[in-house]
Amino acid sequence: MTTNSIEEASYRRTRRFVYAATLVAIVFVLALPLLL
Amino acid sequence: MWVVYIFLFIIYLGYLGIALPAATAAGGVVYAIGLPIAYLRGLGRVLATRPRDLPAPPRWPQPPADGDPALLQYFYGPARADAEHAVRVAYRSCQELWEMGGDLISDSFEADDATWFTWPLGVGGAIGLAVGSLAGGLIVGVLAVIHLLVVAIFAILVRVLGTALRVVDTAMLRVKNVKMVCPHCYERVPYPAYDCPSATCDKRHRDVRPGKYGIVRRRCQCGTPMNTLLLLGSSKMPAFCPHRGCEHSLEHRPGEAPEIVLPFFGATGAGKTRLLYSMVTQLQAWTDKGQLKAEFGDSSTARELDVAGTLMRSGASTIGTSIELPRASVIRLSLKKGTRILQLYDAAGERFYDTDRTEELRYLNKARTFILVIDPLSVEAFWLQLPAGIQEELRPVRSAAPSPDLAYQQTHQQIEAMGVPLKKARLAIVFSRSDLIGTLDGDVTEWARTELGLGNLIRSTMQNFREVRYFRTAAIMESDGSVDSSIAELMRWVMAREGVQLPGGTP
Repeated sequence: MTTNSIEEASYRRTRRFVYAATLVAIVFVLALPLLL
Repeated sequence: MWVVYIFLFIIYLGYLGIALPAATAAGGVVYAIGLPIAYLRGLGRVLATRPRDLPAPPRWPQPPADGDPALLQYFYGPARADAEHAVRVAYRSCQELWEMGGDLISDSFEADDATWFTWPLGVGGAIGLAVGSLAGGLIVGVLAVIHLLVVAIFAILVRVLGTALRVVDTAMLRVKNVKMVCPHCYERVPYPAYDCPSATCDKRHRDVRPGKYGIVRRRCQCGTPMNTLLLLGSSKMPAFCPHRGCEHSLEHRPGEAPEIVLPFFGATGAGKTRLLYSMVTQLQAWTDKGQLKAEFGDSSTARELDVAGTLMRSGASTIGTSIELPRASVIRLSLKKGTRILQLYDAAGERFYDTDRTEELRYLNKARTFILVIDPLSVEAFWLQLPAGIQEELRPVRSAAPSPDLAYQQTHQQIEAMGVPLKKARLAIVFSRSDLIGTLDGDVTEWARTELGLGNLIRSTMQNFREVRYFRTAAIMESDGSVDSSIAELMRWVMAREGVQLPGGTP
């Protein structure tokens, strides 16, 4: 296993989590005018 | 005929009136929506799907050259690099979108016979591209700011969590009164270094605590996960002294239990090693009876002290202690009320005669209880009082060392010079060879003052130490195989102040 592939495996879940959190935040920002 | 031309011109104007705004609107919508979609797609490619054709990131954080061989925690560099990478990937997607629009616009002016029909679409598309790109760019900017904010919030949370965990771990060690000392170099160990637990990796991590390499866990460069705190079970990994130049193995799993540093000092041949052996044998006896559990803390101690019981039973003399700096004998003591790690330091008597050699015993300033061992036979005043017959009998075992005052004064000065608050320290003065000089009825202090003529030493110890207690011990085994009760009495006194209640009651 190369360092690169270890990094990929190590960061996979966190990256996906950040992506999901970003999408949720974007939806929230878009929905903000409606909520207000 | 001209009527037909006018009619066609009017129709063409109508077409322009519809085609131009329609192309502008279509171009605007496509780019206002297309650019954010391209950005989100780029973000998804970088953060989620990671396709094989994903271009390499323009910049990737490198761990410090003198740092641990571990991967950086995601929010300590890689997250920022990923954000930059996502913008680059998204920009490339946007470029493709722009190139596609540019091609369509230029095609609209080169449609041979149909150019009169397509140029309004090209012009409208160009206007739409410009306006849509502006709007889309603004939306992309907002999306990028949201992403960066999410990363920043997590980065802050991760740092706060890491600091909180460190504080809790340190507080736990304080509450448990765990202060780690290396038995080899005598230095305080702020936190043990650990080897990667993988059988195929020998990388050493000097500081596994939460930080840039991981909060709850870190990952070795070989890919093996490691716990970051004693609180989280890091003590199960092979531990080492973190001090450069030492780096010895700490097999006794430091950090799990409070450590008790117990130095023996006294003149050559005073009986320090024999006392140590008898204490170990007593602990083994209590272990055999199931009253506590004492085990050697490391293989080196096991090698040295495994013979203690046999030697005590045989009654043979111990071999003179090497003049080299001692390595602590480590004993793990498990009791009903918790575990303690005993570090017993037995240095050669010669080390207590001159400043240079005593200075090297840097473990002295880690101790709060000291054991001074004195051979009463070595005290000239006492020796001269003995009948000639007894003198002849005891001459072979008599220590030829200088007066016990010298070793005491030398060590006392050194302990003080090392900054140990003696007013908080305790001293056990142990007169060895009680088995040879007979039992004593009465006060040991008075006996030492009158019979041994150690009034000055006694006065000095009482003035300097918070608590001093005198013992007469016989480091021998009784006929029934038990260690002389004086050893247990001494141990109970020593350990009681460390919060350990040994079998047999309070001294």
